[in-house]
Amino acid sequence: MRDLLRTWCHRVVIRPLMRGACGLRVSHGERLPRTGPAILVANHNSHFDTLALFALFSPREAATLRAVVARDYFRVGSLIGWIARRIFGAITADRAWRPAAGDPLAGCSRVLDAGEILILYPEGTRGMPGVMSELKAGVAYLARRYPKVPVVPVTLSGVERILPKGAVVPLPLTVAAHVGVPRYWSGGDCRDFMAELRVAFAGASEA
Amino acid sequence: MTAGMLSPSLIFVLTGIFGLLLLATSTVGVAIAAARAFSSLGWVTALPILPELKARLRTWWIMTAAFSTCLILGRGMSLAFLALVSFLVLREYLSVTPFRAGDRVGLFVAYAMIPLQYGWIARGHAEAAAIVPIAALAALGAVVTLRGTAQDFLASSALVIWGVLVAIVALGHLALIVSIPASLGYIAGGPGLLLFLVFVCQIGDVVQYIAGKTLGRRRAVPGLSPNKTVAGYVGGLSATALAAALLAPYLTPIGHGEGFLVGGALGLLGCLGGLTISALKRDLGLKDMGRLLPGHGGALDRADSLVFSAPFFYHYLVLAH
Repeated sequence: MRDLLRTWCHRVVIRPLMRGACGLRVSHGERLPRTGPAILVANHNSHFDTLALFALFSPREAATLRAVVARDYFRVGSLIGWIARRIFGAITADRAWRPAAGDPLAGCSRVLDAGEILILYPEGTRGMPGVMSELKAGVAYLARRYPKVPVVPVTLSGVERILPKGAVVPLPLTVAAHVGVPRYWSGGDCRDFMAELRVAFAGASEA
Repeated sequence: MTAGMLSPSLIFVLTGIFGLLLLATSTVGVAIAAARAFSSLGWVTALPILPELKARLRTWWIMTAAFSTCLILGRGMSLAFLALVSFLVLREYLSVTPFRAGDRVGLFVAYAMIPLQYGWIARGHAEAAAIVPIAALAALGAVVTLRGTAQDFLASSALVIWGVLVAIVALGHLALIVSIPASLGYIAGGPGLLLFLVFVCQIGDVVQYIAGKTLGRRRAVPGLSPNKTVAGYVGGLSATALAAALLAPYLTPIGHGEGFLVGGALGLLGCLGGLTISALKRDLGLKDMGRLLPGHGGALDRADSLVFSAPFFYHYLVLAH
């Protein structure tokens, strides 16, 4: 059954807000995965990053998107935690890995096994505007586990000006999303994969 | 103004504009087909201007259709369309200017001036254009008072006031022009006056672009706008003056001869508007203000010739007629 709240939020709020008020411009939208399983990785500066990524998809496609969010920030019982789970299909991850917690990628694996699209911010948090922080390697481990699943890098620009970390009220300013070439696990080392991803993000910000 | 009250001359000119677009589109279509045929024969044909012309024309169709639909639907729709233009121009301006986190309230002030300006104009308050920049400055003064620190106040408030002046106050004169009531002499009413101004300025831009690409050699102002040539400016200015002389008696209370002079002034102010925005872009290290209009650049790249000519035209009409 289709989730009416999610679909209508997408139709009435997310797309008009990002495509209309913020004039979201997409380059190489044809590289986006239209069906799962797939992994979207993006740079992260603002809560609006997730809205921008959702607005790249149609309401039907967006129903299969799932953002990975930090368990300590998007707490169960908080409003932002409810919105993340209910509207953005969020699954939570621990930022600090504890051996007792078991497989840290179990939630992500379940999403990919279900044929859905995972949204990951490898920086792990909203970084400094316009500066790519050190990437966390979780996405490489995930890609190694699912070598047939495409990893699509999306570089967002301008979003950090709409609602920077710490700001409360968003402003309408123009936003662009550059979709990079989908990548697959090619064997070798996790560090190689992360280096490749870093190059993809750096290349997109120049293009 | 309702659809039933549209003047025949307005309909006539609008039809003529769509005729021009049709002519231009078929000419470019034939040129593209010919270039393709010649290159398939092995003859060297390098016409890099053609794809850009095609993109520009596509955008012209959309802009002309939206603009004339709003003109036909009446004053309310015209004001809504112009308020949207102000929003788009302001948004792309604020998106490329170097703002810091502390200036976000100032950006709010700028956006808040749009409903203020257009609300006042909608209620017939023509002095809106004079009070809006002062209202913006007062709001910025209140913001800096609450923040309690004067650091960089001049720089950040100047950024906001610049945007308010160009995007809202100057372009808001288009809304004042469309609000001029149809009366003796004003045969085609506000919509006719607005159509006249926008058409003569835009046809000047088009001729300036084409003449600059094909005839131009000598660069007019390389320090501000490397692509503008002397031939382009001469062509654009003459086109604006001639179009104004031709159309003035049908859309405005101005005769042919006076129309030529007014057209010359509009053309000069249009060039000055373009150069002023070029200076802004050059200073920010940009080629275009944005990418809203494929082939043209941003909204302000298309509207820059109206920034000074719209206020001039409004005050000329009010004072001289």
